[in-house]
Amino acid sequence: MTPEQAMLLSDDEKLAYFYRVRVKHPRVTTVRDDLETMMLPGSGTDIALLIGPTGAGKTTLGESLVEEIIKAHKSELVNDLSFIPAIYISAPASGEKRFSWRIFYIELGRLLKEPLMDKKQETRLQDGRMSVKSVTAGSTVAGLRMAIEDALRFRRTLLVVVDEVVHLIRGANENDRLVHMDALKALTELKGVNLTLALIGSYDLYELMTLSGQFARRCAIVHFQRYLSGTGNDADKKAFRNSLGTLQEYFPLKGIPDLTEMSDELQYACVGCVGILKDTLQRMLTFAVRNKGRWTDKCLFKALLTEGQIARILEETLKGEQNIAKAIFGSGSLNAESRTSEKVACR
Amino acid sequence: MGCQEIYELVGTDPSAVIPQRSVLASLKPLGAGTPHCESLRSYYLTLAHMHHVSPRIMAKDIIIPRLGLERFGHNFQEWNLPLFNGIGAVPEKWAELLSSLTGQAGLDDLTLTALRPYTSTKRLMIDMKRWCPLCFSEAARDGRVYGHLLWEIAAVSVCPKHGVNLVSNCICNNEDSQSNFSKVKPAKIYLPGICSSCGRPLVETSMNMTTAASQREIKRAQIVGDMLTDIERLKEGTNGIDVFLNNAVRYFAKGNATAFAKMLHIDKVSLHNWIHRTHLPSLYQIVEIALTFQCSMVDVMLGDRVAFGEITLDIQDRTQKPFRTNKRRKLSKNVVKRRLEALLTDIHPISLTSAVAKIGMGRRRLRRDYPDIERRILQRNQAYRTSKQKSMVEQRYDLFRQCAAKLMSEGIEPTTRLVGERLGGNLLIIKGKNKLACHAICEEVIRSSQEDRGRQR
Repeated sequence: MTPEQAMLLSDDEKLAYFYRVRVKHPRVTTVRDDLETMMLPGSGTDIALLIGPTGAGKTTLGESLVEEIIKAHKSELVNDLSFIPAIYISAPASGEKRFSWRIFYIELGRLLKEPLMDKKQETRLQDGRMSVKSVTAGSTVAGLRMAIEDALRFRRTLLVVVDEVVHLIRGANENDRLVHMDALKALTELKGVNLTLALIGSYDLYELMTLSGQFARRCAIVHFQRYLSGTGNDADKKAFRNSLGTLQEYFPLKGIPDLTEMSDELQYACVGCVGILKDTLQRMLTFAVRNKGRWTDKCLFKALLTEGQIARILEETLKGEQNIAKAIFGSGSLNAESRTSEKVACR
Repeated sequence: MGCQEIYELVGTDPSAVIPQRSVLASLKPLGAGTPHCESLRSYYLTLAHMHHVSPRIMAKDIIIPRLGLERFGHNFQEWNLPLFNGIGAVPEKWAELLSSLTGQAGLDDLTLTALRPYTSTKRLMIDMKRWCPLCFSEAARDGRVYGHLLWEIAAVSVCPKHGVNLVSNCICNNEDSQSNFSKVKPAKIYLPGICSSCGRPLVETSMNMTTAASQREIKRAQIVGDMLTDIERLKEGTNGIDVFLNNAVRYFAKGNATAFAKMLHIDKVSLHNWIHRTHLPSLYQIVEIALTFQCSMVDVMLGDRVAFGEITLDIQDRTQKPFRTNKRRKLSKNVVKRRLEALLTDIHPISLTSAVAKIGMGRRRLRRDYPDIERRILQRNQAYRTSKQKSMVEQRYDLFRQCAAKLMSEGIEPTTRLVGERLGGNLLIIKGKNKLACHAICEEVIRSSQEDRGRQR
């Protein structure tokens, strides 16, 4: 549907249309290239931690990455009816103190089109004897896990994007986190499976990298950085302006002034994040639609984040950026002087 | 605005959606088009195991509703029937449905449905599980262990590849699995190459049971194996065995059907019925005809491509071994009675099924002609089993009591759960109604211990 056709839609349809609009900007391309490199067989990286500030567009990137992989395997999908190349899953918040692997596996099974998830039986091997634990009150977590492992094997899944990984680590102590990460890591080490896990989350995820050396070796951090403002960041400013321009092209409302003229102000108001910009424009459209489709400046001002919200996001982002500065994918160096970690260890 | 290509709109492409996927794993059947073709039962069991559900549950929740056969009292165990890989409607429907659920075409080749126009169901499949441990061993090396369709055909009793008799017993059949109290009783697992009773790989448990097969049996197995290889021809064929028999009667017996029937050691009525297609011969009989005429079974069934001039009849050992070798010899009443009474005086009581198998008579005949003896065998066996079970339970209670006392002596107050854990997990004794008795034993041990302490003070 062209933007001109979208102008003729009803109010609800306009909102739905703009909600579906996603813009591919330079940061997305860079990050996606990094992720695709990690997915290559034998790349040595099984887990990619996609870290970035809230509203940077991480979720959108995760979804579009899955779509790209599906498109790339189009002919294989026709030939092999059991093939599911990539899936996107959001780690569920169970409402309990601990992360619920049961809910996670059931959701993963649904996405992998695995039947009878409530009747999975656990196979045991004890003293050279195989036996099964009969299902009485639904599947056990072990049974679900085994079923998922086999499903990943015969569905030949290449990528699992897990969003909201923060639910795994929130409220868990260090030991629990290690157990959670081991459970995820084990999925990538299955025999006959060439799987890459892409874990998406905010800067909290950096803590996972520090859990164990083994885990740090197997995973890589991909930083989804915001577009920086201020002097010396002209390329970032230009990229943000172009993203704004593209989004405005698809804005299904007439009579809007050229927003790119206030690109610098909007970049500050959105902390340089295209996701926040998209949310702002979506809210702006909602206010305009409620105003009987008439554009006023108020629509924009109402849609913007408050100073308090911006300050909070900026604070978290700056702290996170500082933390992960030396752990980002591609930031390795042979310069011994830069190895502060080694110095610390030696001391 | 001058947007570059990089700022394109994404997320609106319908091709980025995964199309309809297969319900079940697209498992590739093994050995298709060879004498060592996988059977549909083996395929189904492997599929259920891959999905970590029991074959019964898979049949109940996925297969039967789709076949439209769901009804009250359905046992959902069709995959366990002897004719599951045979020529009936069940294997045909299952193969078709499994093909659509897995996306694997040609699963009907894992059954004998292609033989339907040529043979009867009589003595087609065997009602027991048989396997070649050497084949299992090779398959385990190559990847997946599977059951062969050939092993389920009644006319075959050996492995044509390794020249050994097929094995039908796991070592666990000779073990008294109830003797060890703490032994965990495994839940039944249905998987090719695994004993469903003890859960051990059949390669390990039955490798020593292999015995060399006779050349005649190997040839018979080879001829059936060749038929499985050439099964595509049968699907396309239009003729029947009548064409072959008509030509053979003309060529070998100068049109005299009675003489020809004698040559084949069958009665002339059977031959007449086969020629006029009022009855179909059994697969066993087709094998015998193929062996006699030294041609392939497919040639016999299709009746074409046979050059009778090149055939040398192999009828020498037919005189010693007529077609109806498996027919039971009718025993005289006196002999049967004597043997049955001998069974009643035997030290080890046996079941009715074992008794009729030992005597070599039908169960129906036993009931009709010797109702008293049948009743006595049944009662004796029931009494024996009840007493055995009772003693076993008593033995288990004793062990439970000992363990509870031991716990008490260690200063731990015994509970059913603690004792169960100490004894090694899944105990039948602490399940169901026995659980109450276990509680009582624990209480008794605690009480007696307290009394002892009181006395000591």
